[in-house]
Amino acid sequence: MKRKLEYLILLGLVCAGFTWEFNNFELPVVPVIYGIIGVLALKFRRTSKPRYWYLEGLLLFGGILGAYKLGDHLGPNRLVFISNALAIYQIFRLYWPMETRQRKFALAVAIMHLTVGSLVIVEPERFILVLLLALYLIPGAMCQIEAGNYHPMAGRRTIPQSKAQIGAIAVLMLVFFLLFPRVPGARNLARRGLMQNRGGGRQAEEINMDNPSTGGSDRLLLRVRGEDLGYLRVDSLDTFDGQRWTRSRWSEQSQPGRSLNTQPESDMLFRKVKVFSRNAIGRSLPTDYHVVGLQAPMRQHIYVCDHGGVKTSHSVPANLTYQYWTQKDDFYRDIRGTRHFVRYTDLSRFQPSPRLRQWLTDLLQGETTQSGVAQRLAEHLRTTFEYELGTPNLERLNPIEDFLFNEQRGHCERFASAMAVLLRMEGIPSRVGRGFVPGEYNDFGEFYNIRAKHAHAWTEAWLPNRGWVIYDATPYGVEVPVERPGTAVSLYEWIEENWYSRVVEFDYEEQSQVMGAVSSGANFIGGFVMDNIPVILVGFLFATVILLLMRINWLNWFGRRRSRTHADDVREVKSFYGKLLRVLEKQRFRRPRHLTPWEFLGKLQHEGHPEIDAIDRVTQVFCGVRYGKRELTPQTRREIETALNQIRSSRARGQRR
Amino acid sequence: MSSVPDSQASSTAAELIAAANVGRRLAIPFPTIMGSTFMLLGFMLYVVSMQSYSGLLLLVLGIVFGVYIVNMVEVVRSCRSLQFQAPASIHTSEGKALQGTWEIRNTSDHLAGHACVTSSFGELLKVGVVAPHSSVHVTPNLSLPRRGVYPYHRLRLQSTFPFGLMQAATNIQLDGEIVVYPAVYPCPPPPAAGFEPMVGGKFKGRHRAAAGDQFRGVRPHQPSDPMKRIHWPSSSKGLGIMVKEFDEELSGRVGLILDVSAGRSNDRVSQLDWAARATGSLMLAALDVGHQVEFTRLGDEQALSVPPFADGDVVLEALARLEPRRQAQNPDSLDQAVNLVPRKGSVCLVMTHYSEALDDLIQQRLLPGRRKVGLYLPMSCRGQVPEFPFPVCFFNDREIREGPAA
Repeated sequence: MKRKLEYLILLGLVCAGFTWEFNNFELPVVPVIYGIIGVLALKFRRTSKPRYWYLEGLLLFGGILGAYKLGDHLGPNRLVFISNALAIYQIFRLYWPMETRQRKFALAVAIMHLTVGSLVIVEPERFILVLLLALYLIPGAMCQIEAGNYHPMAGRRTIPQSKAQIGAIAVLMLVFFLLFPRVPGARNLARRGLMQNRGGGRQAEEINMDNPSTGGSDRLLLRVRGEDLGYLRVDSLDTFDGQRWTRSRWSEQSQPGRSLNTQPESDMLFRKVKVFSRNAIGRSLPTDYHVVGLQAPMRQHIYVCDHGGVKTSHSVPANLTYQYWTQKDDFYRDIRGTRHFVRYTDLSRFQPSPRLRQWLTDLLQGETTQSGVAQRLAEHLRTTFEYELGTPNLERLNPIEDFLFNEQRGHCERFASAMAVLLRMEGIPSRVGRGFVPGEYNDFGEFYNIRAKHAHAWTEAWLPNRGWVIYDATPYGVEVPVERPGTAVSLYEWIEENWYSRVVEFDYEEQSQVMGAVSSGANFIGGFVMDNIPVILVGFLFATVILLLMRINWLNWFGRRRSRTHADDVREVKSFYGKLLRVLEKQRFRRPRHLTPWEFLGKLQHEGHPEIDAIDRVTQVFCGVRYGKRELTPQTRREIETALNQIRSSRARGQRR
Repeated sequence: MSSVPDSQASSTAAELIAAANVGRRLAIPFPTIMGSTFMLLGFMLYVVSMQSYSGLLLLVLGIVFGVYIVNMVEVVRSCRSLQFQAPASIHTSEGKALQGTWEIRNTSDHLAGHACVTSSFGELLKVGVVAPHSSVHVTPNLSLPRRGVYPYHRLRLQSTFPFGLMQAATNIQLDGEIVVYPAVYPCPPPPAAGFEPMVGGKFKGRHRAAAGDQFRGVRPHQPSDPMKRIHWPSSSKGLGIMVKEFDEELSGRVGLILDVSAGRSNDRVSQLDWAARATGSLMLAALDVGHQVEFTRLGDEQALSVPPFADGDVVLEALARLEPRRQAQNPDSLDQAVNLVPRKGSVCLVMTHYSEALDDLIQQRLLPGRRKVGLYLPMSCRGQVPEFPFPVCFFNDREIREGPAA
C-alpha cells in the first residue's frame, strides 16, 4: 500500500463523520458521506498544484467560522464542529498533490480526527477495526512522509512495513494505555458531553390512558451491575386531568436537605450503571429503592427530585457510567405542606361516577388502614385483570371506568394510572412512577440488561410513617419474569460489558487496581525467589546444562520444522550467483553494472571463458529461481555447487583493464 | 573559456581510500521538530481525554507513543550501523557541485538510513533507506562558494529513521578533505617574453625557418634558396619562381608573482580571493596559448613550473591552499620573487595593493632591465597607480580589465 497517508486521511474523515451523532440513525450517514467524498477526491486526484488556492482557504475559513457560530445551535459541541471543518481541509489534501509541510499537517489532522473519533466510536467491533487500521496506517504514513525528504536514488525510497515494528508499536500502545497516568477525578472536569442531545427519544412526557401500547424494542438502554435490583425509577407523574397523567412543575424540584454524598455502608446496596442510550433517560439517572449516595463523572448538578428519582441539570453525557448506593428499607419523608398533599390527592378534574364509587366501596369493604387499601387494590387489579399489549383504545372521555368495567386488560400504564386514581379517591396521596424493571440477567457477567421493552409504570402511595411505597398493580409486576439469554449471547454481552468497563472506562481507580495487582504479583514473585534461592539456582543450573546438551538437536528440529519459502530460495540462489561473480572477478572477468546476467553470460561467451557451460548453468538456475519463481531443489543445489567448484578450479584469466 | 578540467574536479581512483569511521560516540535520541509538534499535539489530546468519558483516546495516543519509542530505538541503531567510505580527497572549484561518490554501508541485519551527513561547512549528503548488509553510493550535494581546503575529519551523522519523530546524531571521523580551487574566468593571456621554439607553441617568431610546423606563405626566389623549397604550383603561374616559407612555433615564458598579503582594503580576504582567481585565470589563459608558466608567491623560496598545455593542477591547488600573510609585499620578498622567475620571461605581478616597494621594483629594476611586465591590481587600486609604459590591468571577482592606471 503506497498511499498510506491518503488512506489515513480517509480513515480520519470517516471518524470525524462519526462525531455527527444525529441520533436515531441506524446507519452512520455522515461517515459514509465523508468516506464517499474522500474516495472520490482520491479517485479524481489532480496531479498539478491548485490554481485557486484561495477558494480552499475561503471554504476552510467558512467551515471553521460556521463551526464556531453554529456549533452550539446545531447540537454537537463546538470543538467537534471545528474538527469537521478541518475535514474540508483534508478533502482538499486528498484532491490536490501535497507538499511535505502539508503532508505533516494533514497527518496531524488525521490523528486528531482519529482521537476525536475514538471519543464517540466506543462499540468494540467498530473501534477495534479503526484501531487496527490506525496501527497499520499511522507508522506507514509517517515513514512515507519522512522518506519523501530523501532522494530516491540514495537508497530505497519506500520502506516495507515491518511486522516486528507494528507488533512492538501494538505492545507499546497497550503498555501506554495501562501505565499512562490518569488523573484522579479527571472525568469530573468534563463540563458537557461531546454530543449534547436536546431532542427526546425517551419515554413520553405523559401517560395517556386511552392509548394502546405496543411494547418496546430489544434496544439496550442500560446495564446495571448489582444484586437484588428493584424498579429503576426515571420519573413520576403526579397530575391527573381525567384522561392523562402529566408531571407538575414541582415534581422534579430537588428535595430540600437531601444530598447524595452519603458514604457507602455495609447494609447498602451498591449499583453500577452503564448508560447505552441517553435518549431513553433524558436528564434522569435511573436508580432503584431509596438512593443515598451517587457518583457520576460529570459536572452537571445532580440532585434527588421530589419524586425520589435522581436528575441532572443537563442531559447526561454519552457513554456515562455512574454508581450509587441505595437502601432497600422504607424511606420516610413527610409531604411538605398542604399544597403538596393536595397535589398528590387532587382529583378535581376527574368526576368518578356513582358506579365507580360503589365498586370501590364494595372492593375495600373491611379495610381500615391505608396500606391495606393499597394492597387490596393492587391485588385485585393483578388478579382480576389481564396484562396485554396492543389492546384497543379506551373511551376517550372516561378511560378509567372503561378500563375498570369494560376492557379490564391493558398495559402497565393503564394499571398504574387506574390504581393511582383509585388511591386518590380513597384520600391516599399517590402518583404514577415510571422507569424500568430488571428483566434480563446475564449469568456470565452478573449484570442486568435493561432494554426498551423493560420500560414499566407502577403506582406509589404515600403512607403515614412509611413514606412512599411502591404498589404494582400490573399482573406480572410482583414477580417480573427475568430472562436469561443463551450462552453465546451472554458471553458476547459479557465481553461487551468488559470492554466498556475495563477498556473504555479505564480510569484512575482501575489503573490503581491494575498497578496494585502488578505490584503484589511482583512482591509475591520476589518473596518466593528470595525464600527459595538455593532451589532456584540449582534448578537454573540443571536446566542450563540440559539445554546445552540438547541445543543442537533443538536447533535442528526447529530447522526442519520451518517450512521453506520462495524467499529463502531466492536468498540462497542470490548467494550462489554472488559467489560466481566473485570467482569470475578474481579471474578478471568483472561484470559491469549495466549488464544483465544473460548479457554478462553472452559477454563471457564472446571472451571465450573455458567454463562457459558451468557459468551458463548457474546463470540459468539463478534467473529461473530469482525471476521465474522456480523452486531450488536439492539436486539443483548440488549441481550449482559442482559448477561453482568447476569454475573456481579453472585457470581462465581475462584481460587486465 | 578556461575552466577546471574534469580530471581536476574529481578525485582519482587511487585516492579513493576507504576511510574508517573512528571516534564515533553514542547517539542520544531527541525529538525532531515534527516530533516536538506531535508531542504537543499529544499533550493537548491527553488534556481532552481527561475530560472524556472514554479512555479509548489513549489507545490512539498509544500508537503515537509506540511510534516514538520504536523510532528512538531505530535512530540509535541506524546511527550505529551506517558506515561511510569517502574519497581521501575531492577536488572542485568555487561554486561547483562536488564530484566523487561516497559509499554508505549498512552493517546491521535491519534496515537503516534516513540519514543526513553534515559538516561545519554545510550539509554533505542525504541517504534514503539502506538494506541490511548492502551499500549505496551517494554523491554529495554541496557546492562551496570559497576556495580553500575543507577537511571532513569531523562530520555529524544524523538519522531520523524511520518515522522522523526522533533523531539521533553522532560524530563520525573520516580522513580526507575537499580542495576547492578558485573559480576561473576567461581573460586575455598575460604578456609573455623569452620566446623559444617549442613544440606546441603558438607564436610565430621573426626568424623564418626553412622547415617548421606551420606553412606561412610563398615569396620570390632568391639566389641562395635551395631547390627543394620551390613552390611549384605558384611558380607555374608565370610570376617567376616562388619558394615556400615556414614559421617557427614559439612558446613564451610567463612568470606569475602573487601577492599573498592581506591587502589594505577593508575587504581583505576577498581581495586575496580575487587575486587567487585572477592568478588562476591568467595561468590557464597562458597555458591555453602555449606559454610556460612559472608561479611563485611573495615569500616563497621556489617557484612552481607548469609546462604549456598542462592542466595547472599544481598551481590551482596552491591557490586553494593560499593563506594570507601579513605584509608579504615588501622589497625583499618582491626581489626574491622576481629572482625566482626566469630572466628571459615576463614578470606578471598579481598584487592585492600598490605599495612603494612595488613602485621601486618596477621603476628601478624591471623597467631599466627591459623586462616585460604585466601588473594586475584589484579594482579598488584604480587611481593609485602612476603611468607606466606597459598596460596595467585591474581585476575583481569575475573579470580582468585593462584600464588607465590613473
